[in-house]
Amino acid sequence: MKHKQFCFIIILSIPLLLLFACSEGMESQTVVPSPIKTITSPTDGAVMVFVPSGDFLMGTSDADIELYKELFPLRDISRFDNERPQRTVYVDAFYIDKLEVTNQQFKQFLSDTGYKPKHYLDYPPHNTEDQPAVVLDWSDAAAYAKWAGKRLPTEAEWEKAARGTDGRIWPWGNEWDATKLSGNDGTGLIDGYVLTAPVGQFPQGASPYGALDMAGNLWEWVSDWYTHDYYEYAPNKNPLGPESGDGHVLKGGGWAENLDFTRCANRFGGNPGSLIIGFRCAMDTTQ
Amino acid sequence: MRNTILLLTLVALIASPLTLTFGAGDVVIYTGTTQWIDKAPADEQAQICVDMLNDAGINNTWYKSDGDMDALANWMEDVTDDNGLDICVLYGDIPPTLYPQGNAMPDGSIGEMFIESTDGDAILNHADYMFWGLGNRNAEGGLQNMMDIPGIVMWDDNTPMIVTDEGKDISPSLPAIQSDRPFHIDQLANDWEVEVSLAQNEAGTRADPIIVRDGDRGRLIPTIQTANGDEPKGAVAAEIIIWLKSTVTSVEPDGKLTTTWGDLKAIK
Repeated sequence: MKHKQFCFIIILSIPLLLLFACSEGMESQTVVPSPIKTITSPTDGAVMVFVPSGDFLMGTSDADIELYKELFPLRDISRFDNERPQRTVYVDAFYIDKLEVTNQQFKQFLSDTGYKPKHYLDYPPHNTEDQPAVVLDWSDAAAYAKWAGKRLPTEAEWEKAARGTDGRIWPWGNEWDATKLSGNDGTGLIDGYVLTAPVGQFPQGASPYGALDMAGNLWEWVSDWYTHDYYEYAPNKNPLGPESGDGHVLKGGGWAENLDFTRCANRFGGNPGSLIIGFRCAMDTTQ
Repeated sequence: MRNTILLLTLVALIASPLTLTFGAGDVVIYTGTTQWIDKAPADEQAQICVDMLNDAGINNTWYKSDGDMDALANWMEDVTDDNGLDICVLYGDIPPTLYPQGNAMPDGSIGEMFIESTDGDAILNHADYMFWGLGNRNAEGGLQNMMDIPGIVMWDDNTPMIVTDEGKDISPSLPAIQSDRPFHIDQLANDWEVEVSLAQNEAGTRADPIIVRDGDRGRLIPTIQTANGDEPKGAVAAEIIIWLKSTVTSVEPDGKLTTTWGDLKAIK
């Protein structure tokens, strides 16, 4: 009888152990550093989240490529060449805006400074107060950041803020979930928004550091120039991008994008074409 | 002498199906400005298209420079309503000489008149969103105004396309692709209808490539609208053009058309 009880306990404990092991594995995808540290930027009132110093995985690994072959079977793998090789990159601590810069904030900048933007879509359906500002010219975004006492994030900072340290594919983890971003097909049938969503509508898609809309809504400018092969020779500590290039790097995908373009490692540059672009700002912790 | 005449007559008779197949009308390819494809790969693809059209005996002109925008517009004006099937191939950008930038002329542009004539003229576009324009000149308004369909868009990147039976027949070079700017079949309105869908998604709501036609007027042919992809755009465009011109403008009976198209594929 005792032997039977022992066997029963063993048999019962196996699935529990398996369940525990699985939950450990899942936890690595959804870990959120706690507590999320924030400050409020005095000039534009933006909430900024803290990203600690340290290493993170930047770019796309060989294992990722194998997964992409399943996720994007019809894509030529050379498409991902500009994200490779994946490397361990160190960045100093910094703050980054929790949300994309809104029309209200951008218009405050224009009003305060008299700045004449080169290409800002200040017309419906893009320009309600809480929608992200569609700023198609990089220099307009850089001018805003300077006015706000901040700067555009480097590509490395942006990517770390979006995916944390573990090399995950999307800000929330490694499983595609169309309900966690303003993206998809531009019909609004999946995420509820035909075009951009007001900023911050998808807390379930938060990055490990609490930044929102890092996937979807608008593509985002970063400070780096774009070259296709930069990762092949980039430094591993606080990379700033090449000295010149073919336009500036765009990250994150927009409101009409799906699982490929919204990957944290995805990078676009040079010829943005029909990409709708905005931005968020960053700031050193010493400021 | 009699033998020579007989021989020449025989040669002429053999050659006649090919020469008669392609009616009036020109093909013009423009790579002066490109979007979502760099100029160098666009030129490579255009060269492939030109070579295949030449092999098939189809008149074509290639405008390679952005300084050719005016010449392109002049050509388009000249051939509109000339009773020939003319086709303009673009690589992701529509020059402002064809469609004034910023949607400044929503109706009556040279480009719109071209596809509204009953010649059946066509604009075929690769790479980025059709009529979007460099630097977001026209954005969604370009396609909407050219088609006179408010609200029609080309979003939905990364959409897998399954090649249809018609697609396999018309364009043997066409691979299965993931289209970044597919045509939205479910947004067609007015007299616009699908003439041939060469590849489409499972639901049949998105397609790329596709030939859509505005009643008995012109055509639009979005063809492999992908971001920086290295798909065989030039070969697919040439095969679509050869099919269109052989099928639509032939003066031969239907039975001979099939034979001729088979011959053309064999030539390739």
